Amino acid sequence: MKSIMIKNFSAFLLVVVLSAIFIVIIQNQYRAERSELLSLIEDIIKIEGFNLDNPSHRVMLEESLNYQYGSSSYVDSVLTKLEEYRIKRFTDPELMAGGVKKGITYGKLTNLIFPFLKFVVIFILSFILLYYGVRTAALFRFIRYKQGRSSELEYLIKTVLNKNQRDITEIFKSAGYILLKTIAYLLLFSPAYVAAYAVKTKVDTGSFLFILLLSVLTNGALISYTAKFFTMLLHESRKGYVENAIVKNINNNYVFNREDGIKLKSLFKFSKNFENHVLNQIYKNALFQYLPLLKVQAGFLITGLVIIEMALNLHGLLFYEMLKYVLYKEYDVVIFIIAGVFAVVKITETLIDLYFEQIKLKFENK
Amino acid sequence: MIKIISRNKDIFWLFNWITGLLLVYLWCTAYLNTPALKNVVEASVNSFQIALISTGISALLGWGFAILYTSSQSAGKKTLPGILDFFVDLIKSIPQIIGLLIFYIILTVLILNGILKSSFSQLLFMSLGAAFFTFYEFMSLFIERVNYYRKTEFFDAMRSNGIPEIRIVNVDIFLKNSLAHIVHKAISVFGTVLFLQCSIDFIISVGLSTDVSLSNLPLSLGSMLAKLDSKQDILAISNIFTNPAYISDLLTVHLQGISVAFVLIFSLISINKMTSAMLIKKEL
Repeated sequence: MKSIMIKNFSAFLLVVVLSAIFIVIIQNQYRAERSELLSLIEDIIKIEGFNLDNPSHRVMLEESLNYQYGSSSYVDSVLTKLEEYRIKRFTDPELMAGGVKKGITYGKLTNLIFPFLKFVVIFILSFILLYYGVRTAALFRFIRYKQGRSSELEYLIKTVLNKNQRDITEIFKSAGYILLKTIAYLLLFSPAYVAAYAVKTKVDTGSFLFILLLSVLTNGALISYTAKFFTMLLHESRKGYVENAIVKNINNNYVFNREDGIKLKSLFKFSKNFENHVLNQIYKNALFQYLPLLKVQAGFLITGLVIIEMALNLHGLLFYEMLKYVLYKEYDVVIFIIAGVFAVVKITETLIDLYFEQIKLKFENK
Repeated sequence: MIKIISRNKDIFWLFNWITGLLLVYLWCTAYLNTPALKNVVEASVNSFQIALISTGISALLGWGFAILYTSSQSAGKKTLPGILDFFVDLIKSIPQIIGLLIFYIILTVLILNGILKSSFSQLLFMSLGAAFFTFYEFMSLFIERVNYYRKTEFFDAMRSNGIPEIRIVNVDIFLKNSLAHIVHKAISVFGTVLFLQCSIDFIISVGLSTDVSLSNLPLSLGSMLAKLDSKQDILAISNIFTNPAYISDLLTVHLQGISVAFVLIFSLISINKMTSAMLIKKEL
């Protein structure tokens, strides 16, 4: 436990130190750039009544400088800097009318608090939802596999080809199931921005619930981790103790809602328990192996949230703000946000590691 | 041939994928205008190319670091494996998309300064970025395979026969006994890179295209999706909720965006299905 804390904390500390160094370097660069820009032109832009946007003022200035210094490189430099300054007043946030100071400021940090908290809340909720979704979907798939259900497409083809017992209702039911499954696959594997744009005119894509659903259902998050957990269930079910348990008459029927089968209610509960059924042990052992994967799942979920917030331009959310600062080239703020996200990842990883260690002690009878 | 395809689900999905892409191409030749078709093909080729190069670099990096790790482990050294563990953990904790965004900022700077001029060098740099945030998957796999075989008699028996450890690891463990694992990992990383690279391209094209014009960066499925006409095509999908017959318009009038999105999603589905089938077939 101590080693987990030390490992994660030292990684976090290293990132904080590196971030601080980069922030200081970037801020020094801002100051250097600003003083370089203003060094030659500071006195000129302060001249009362001088309008840099007025072409006749600029021509007059050029002539005055030429009269004073002759056509020298100094005059060229001054004029180039003035032009640079004139353009930057429209592009540089610090020089714009009512502009704010470039880089990290107290005001910017306080403005980032709410988006950051919102990100943390969305992350926690989507993490819980995904954890529930992965276990439920994988168990459902595993139970169907154990029920010996063949591919629905194969079943449909067989039903259609069977001239003696061609049941139209069955054909429609099967075709409907395949259609729904295809749509579900397209949604589950689609990147969040494609899914969101596809329903943008019908749904409020900026709503909290929509972001939550997108983060869990799209980007392949649910389907990929379901496949991983399903494989673990499959591996576990092939182990010797399962056959041993079956020999000892523990329920092994995978039909839903039969006395010796699987209760559908148990499948949909958050904390899953299949009493007196061999699935209970298979599930618990597979879950133990899945726990370390939760760290990867957390990272992937954050990747999904970044994609959603940036690609959909969701104003007021953390990664949209980050993208804005990338655009303004305020990289010190960007580094600060990344360090914050890194802290969230590290805290999540530490909690998962600690929980895993606790469960491990139980599994190893320590 | 048909028997092999129907018996092996992984090959079946590979066949499906290639056939699906060919069908999309044929459909597009019939309904999509030539310049748009050219863009769709170029974007698909570029995206698959980046994913492929990136997977190669990722595998090489993973293999290199794994050899370094396992050889220092067997030499009884603890510092180097400890340092590697620490830094790999650190990279793992950076969400991949943020890492790629940092790489793209560097790429922008390099393009603006005229350092990366050719389209291939830009593709290579983009691949390197994606490989940097995926190589640890290969590294973990290689280390896991070596550690697994170290516990068996196989390893000691070969060593007592005088076979050098480097040969046992590379030839007998990786090449002869882990090829299925490596291919499985490569397909999975290919899918991850394809998804990440398209997403970052979409984000960059939507939000950061002021400095580097989109035409400067190699066209990809992500940047194609970010184009205004593609976005309008995707927005049109919602029309089928109120008018299901609109699907025919989607497949003919709005073909650019729909075909790009389909190529991406269908590729991700096929790749996922291939890896799942391999896992079950080879009991990996």
